[in-house]
Amino acid sequence: MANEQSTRDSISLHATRSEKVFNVCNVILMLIIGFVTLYPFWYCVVVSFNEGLDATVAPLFFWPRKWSLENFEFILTNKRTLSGFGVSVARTVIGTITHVLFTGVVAYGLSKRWIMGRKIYMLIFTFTMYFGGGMIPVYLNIQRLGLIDNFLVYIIPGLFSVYDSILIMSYYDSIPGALEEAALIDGAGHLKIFLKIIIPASMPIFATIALFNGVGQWNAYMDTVIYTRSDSLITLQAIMTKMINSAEALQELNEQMAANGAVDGFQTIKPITVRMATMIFTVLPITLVYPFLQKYFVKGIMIGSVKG
Amino acid sequence: MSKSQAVHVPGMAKKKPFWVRFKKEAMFHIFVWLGLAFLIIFAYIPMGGIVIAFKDYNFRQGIWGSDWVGLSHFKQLFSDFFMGNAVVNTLGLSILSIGLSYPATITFTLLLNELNNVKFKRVIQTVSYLPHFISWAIMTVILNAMLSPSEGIINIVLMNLGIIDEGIAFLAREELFWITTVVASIWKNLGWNTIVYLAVIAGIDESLYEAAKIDGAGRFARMWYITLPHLVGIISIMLILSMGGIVNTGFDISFYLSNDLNYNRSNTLAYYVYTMGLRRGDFSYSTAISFLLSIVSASMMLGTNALSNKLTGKGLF
Repeated sequence: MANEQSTRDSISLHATRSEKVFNVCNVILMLIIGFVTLYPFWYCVVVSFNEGLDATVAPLFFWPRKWSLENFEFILTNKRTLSGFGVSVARTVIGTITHVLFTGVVAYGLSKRWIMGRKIYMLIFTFTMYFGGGMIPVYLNIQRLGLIDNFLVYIIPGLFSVYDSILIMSYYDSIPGALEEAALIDGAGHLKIFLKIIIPASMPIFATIALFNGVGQWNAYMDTVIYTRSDSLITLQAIMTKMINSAEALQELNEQMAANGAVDGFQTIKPITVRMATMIFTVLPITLVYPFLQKYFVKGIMIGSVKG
Repeated sequence: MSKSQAVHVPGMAKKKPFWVRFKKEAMFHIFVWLGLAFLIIFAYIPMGGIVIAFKDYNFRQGIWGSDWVGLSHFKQLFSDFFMGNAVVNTLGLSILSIGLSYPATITFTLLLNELNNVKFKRVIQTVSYLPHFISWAIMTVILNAMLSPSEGIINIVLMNLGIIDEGIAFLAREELFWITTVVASIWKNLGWNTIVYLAVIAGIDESLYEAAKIDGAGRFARMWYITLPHLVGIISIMLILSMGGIVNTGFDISFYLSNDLNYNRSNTLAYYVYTMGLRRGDFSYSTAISFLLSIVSASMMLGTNALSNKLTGKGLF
């Protein structure tokens, strides 16, 4: 990267006039793309901090017209959103950790190319990447396993992924074999080697897989919609989905507000601003961890594309 | 796990009897079996459930007890108006999406690559990756807000510029549904999709550019004759990968944005499987559709891969 930069600088030093024009236009275009990307998020923040009644009167653009924390107060004191947040956090944390552990273990078995029957194993594994049972057979299977309306439906079906195991496998391959050989000669068993050498050396790939899986868990909504009924299992994404998809949910929210308003003093609150506040509440965790994890996802997608 | 065990060499291991060899490898096999057990329970048993596509499934009699009906669901499928409609929409959406998103992504990659200031480049990259991480529920909230005919900023800007007289209901008009959702998807993934291409560009030998510059090649000539040819391989790989996903195109879009007004253009195959199965409760018919889609998707992957191997010598397998 640094190398590339120095050549670029030397280019721009004696840039021709047309190149200068190009550079300026390019920077302006990039600024526009940056703005177009960020503005919708900013808009949602603006609406969520605006008073509900006022937001329905005239459109908002760059800044709240009438500041209000009521929307956030409402969702932060609402049992449903709080429980949804709890379920989302629980499924993301537990689901991601168990996924990485389970997939990492299976990938280690598969990474030994010389074990008996590996070709058959790989065939059985990769076949499932291209062919599946389809929505209804999968649903009937989940039903038969007793996972309907059960928290474990967020965890167990997501324990393993063939694709992720191939990514992890290729990372194991890149660990120098000499490390393992030396440990074997020193008398360490396979399990000890796995626990003491391979796992610590593979933290970067585990972090990458955990990031992708964690985002997937946090954003998942179909499993909640299809497999669960009780309110105690509803996730934040499913709450959002309900608010979007059905007028009844909004109506329900309206009534809830009317009832709460009388008691708690939420007088001016409106569904549109509450929805925005819920949305901000839902995206916030992702935007908070996002800058720290950036180096991992660039790495992750590269391994994925190299491996195909 | 004996102490005398040396490095594993395939040729050496083969001479040992099965059981001796197995004992040494036991831990690896157990690890693999965990995955195998998972796949049997969560992938292969559901595959067995596909038999209901050839039966008239009802809840009381279960998968095995329901009556056989042969291919009648598949026959029904060919005379189903909404099935044909879903095929058209799925193909239309994917062709439009591939046709617009690849040129957009590659142009954006090349322009990003031409930025001289590394810090600025990094900020733009970080910003542009962000929408990839949000769910379609959030996307829907954003789209509804931005595209609202009366309050959405896009309509307000267009009206102020005098381009339109009154707000356009982008999401409710069926003729605008494809283009609106494709542009929205490009917004969501434009930055993210550049990562692979930027990595390939970073690997191009810098001396090629130096040599071209000495020969008097300008910026565009260098892009056209050096950078782009280096991207052909990865572009074809990405295209093959996207082929397998075509039949599943648009589920999230349909799930969140489909309504009675735009249904003729928003009804996609994956969504039709869902509506027939879980909304209408016709389990057998839904399974017949998803079974056909699985076969089409697998063969498209294999087909494009073979084609790519033949044309460019670069394929996945």
